Amino acid sequence: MRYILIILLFFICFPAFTQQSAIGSPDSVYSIVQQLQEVTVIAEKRELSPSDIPVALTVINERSIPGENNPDLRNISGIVPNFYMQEGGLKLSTPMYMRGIGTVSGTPPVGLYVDGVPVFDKNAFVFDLYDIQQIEVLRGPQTTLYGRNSINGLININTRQAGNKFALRGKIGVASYVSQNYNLVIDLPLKKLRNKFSFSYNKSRGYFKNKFESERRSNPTESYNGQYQGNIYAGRNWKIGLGANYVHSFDGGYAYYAVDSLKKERYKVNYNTPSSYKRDLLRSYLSVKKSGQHAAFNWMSSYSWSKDKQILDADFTYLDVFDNYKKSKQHLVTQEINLQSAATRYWDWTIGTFGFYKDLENNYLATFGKDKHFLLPMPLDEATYYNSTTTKGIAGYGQIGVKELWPGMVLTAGLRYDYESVHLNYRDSLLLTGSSQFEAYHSSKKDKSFAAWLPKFSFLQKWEKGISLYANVAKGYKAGGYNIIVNEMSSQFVDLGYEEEELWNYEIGLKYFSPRKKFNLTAALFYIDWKDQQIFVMGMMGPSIKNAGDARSFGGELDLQWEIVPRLTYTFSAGYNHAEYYHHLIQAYEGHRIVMSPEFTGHAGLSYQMPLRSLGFENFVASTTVSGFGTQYFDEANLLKQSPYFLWNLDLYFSGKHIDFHIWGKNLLDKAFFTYMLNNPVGEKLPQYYDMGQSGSPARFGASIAFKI
Amino acid sequence: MKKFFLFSLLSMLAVALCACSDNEDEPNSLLGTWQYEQPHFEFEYAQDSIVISMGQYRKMSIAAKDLKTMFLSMAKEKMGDYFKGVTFSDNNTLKVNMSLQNGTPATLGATYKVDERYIEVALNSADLAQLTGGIAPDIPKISFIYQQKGDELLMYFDKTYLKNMIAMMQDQLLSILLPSIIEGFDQFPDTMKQIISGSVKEQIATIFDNTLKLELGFTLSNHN
Repeated sequence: MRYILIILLFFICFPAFTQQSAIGSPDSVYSIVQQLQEVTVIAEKRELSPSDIPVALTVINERSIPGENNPDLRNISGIVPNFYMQEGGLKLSTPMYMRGIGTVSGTPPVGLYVDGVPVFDKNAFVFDLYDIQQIEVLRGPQTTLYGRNSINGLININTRQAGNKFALRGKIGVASYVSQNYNLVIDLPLKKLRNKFSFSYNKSRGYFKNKFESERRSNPTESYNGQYQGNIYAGRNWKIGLGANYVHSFDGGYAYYAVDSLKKERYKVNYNTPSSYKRDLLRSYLSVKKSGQHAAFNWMSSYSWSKDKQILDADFTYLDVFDNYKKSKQHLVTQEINLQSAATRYWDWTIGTFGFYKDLENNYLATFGKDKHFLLPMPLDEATYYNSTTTKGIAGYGQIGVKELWPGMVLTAGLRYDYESVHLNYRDSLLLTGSSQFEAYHSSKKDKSFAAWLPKFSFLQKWEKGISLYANVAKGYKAGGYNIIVNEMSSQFVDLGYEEEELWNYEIGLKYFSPRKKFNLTAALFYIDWKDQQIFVMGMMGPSIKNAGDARSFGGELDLQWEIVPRLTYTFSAGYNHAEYYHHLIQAYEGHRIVMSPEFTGHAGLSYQMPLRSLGFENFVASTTVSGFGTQYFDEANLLKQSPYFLWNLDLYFSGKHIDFHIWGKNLLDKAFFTYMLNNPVGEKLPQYYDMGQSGSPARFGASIAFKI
Repeated sequence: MKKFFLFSLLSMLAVALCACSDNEDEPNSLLGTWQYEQPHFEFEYAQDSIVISMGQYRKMSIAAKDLKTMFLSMAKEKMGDYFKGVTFSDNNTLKVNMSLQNGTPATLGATYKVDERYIEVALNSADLAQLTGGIAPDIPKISFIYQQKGDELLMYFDKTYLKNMIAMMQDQLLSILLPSIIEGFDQFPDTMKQIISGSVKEQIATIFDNTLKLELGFTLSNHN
């Protein structure tokens, strides 16, 4: 509370202190409204302004994300209407939802591209967002242009391109819970080659304490990241780009505990096995772009490698019931080639092809301790699992836009054919109590293939006064695959496969960008019909994905930026979705709400900015925001529930030619909420541990200083 | 250059469009009615006898070759009275053909899945409830190894599967087995029963470790 008063006093007094020294200059004032009108979006595989894209979308830069010295995608929950990514989860499994559609585990519903390189797996979705040019978030299926993974949306992250002059930016940040953040970015042009080197390091003690380990912090984090980006701009409009990005991270274990206990002591857990998640990621790419008078050619090759290791106290109690040890390794190669016509008055087109090869290997060990009788119906000491999948895919796509059939009208049609095949090699073995050796139990080699046609149609009508109206229909698709482990112990038949899911999204929307650059509005209504939904089920030995049935989601979204008076801007984004199952394997769940997706998301803020000339600073921005999330259910029975909650944040930002200073506070009123809940299998015999949960982040404060040359 | 790129793109599109699913249905050779012929039991043990110690109270010893003879004779007598065969109705459902104690024929429905080595069977709870005259127990899925040679079908459990199943149900099995092999077991004091059960449980893993081969099942035929 003391910190809040200090910040408020500063906010009230500072304008008085700086008034006499303020020198106004419109060019030095940062305008959110103007920036959004002038930005171009490349998520449609060509540069377009937001008003020309018949899809609900949000464009974010680093400064739009409140709080945090080292934000990641979890922090844009709520800023993007109807987008929710669980904050505080481990990097391994961070559920993501868009318009009510998503899954706790498995392939996310939203595709992710970073500088044109696809990121397939959710364990690579959480990384530091620094030196970012912009983040484009498109809502609704983007499978026609992007294929697998983007069943209900796309996040396209563009990092800042290396400049043609030497530049250096360094930042040091500190925050609550002994959090430190350092990053350094250097632009180093050498003749035609523009180089950019980046490095970041983060460390935090964490805020959960483990009673079993004498109150040791159970969720420390540490990570470092190194990046290289090189661009060559050669004659005749050639651009060759290459880049590499390596991340190493370590997270202390899951912070789940009994809900009743967490309601009294929010950040105290009690489990006997120290848990952790360690991850190494490498991403590299080579891109070639040739722009011609009539068409542009794009080539993108990428290679990604990842390795991770997880140690987990899987019963989340102080009892010695069940521990998991998982190691995985993945290689991913992607190749995309596309051709785009230059935009003409009457039409434009894009055609392309995409292929990938993914090799994923998982090794998993489950150990059962002296208290295993609380979980297992059999005397089992250990179980080992080996699961290797090789997935290959190829796709061809095309899209054409026909303009001016009526003044300001654009009709777009697109089609993609997506094919992929997956080969599974699986085996497990059991060590029963008293046995001297493991016995092979399940073993299987299988193949599956998936294919789909993915169309989209849209209509856009644009008027000169900055208003556009659109409608679109698009099909979303996610291929099937194989689960990691067999949960069925009474049968040796291996049935790990799950089938594809698909959905149809119907959407209408309105966009208004005021000619005087004072007001922007985007509004959309949608209906989604989702078939053969892949849902996450917790089995005795571990999680699995099943095709549970069919669901629907409908709702609306609103995005608004309004410069009320010069320098005072109001921003508001809100999304509502009603997502429920209408067919389910378990009939009792029909009509129930979909797990984890909040019923609404909201983000409202006031931002005041003023030019100043003091202490090396040229601009000052003070903003206050409130983020809100609606009712969430964490199980299909809709018994585990988090009621709506709101979080208040404050940011003060001083920027100058060579120095920036940032102070922030997040969840200032220290609102208590659960970010996740689950039914613990151990809870069948230990009812006090049946309802488990994880507390959301507490109030946090931080500051950072950045130097620029 | 432009023509080369266009040609490359078109070629890749053509490959993509021509790719076809390899999930083509093969005819199911199991379809039809298979009649029960005889039990199947294979057993090889590392030693001449299986010795089971029941705490400090007694020891039991069975000659390995006698066990096989005893089991086959018991199975031939009992199994054939009640189990008549299996009808694979379609690619997903089957019926277990039985005869009740009074000789009345009966069927028990189930769903099944098959791959190149295993048949997995899930019994129909409603049919089971009707047969047992009450609420059906929650029977988990079970799997058989199968070998089909012409008009003969062998279905059996192997050592690994039996070891796992016995481990899952050892308390229930011992409560049936011990009274039948130890005279007067039900009259023993509870402490003595627990010591004997505990001692036998501890030896099950060792007995399986010494078992070189174990197969338990039945042979069916389809002479249509």
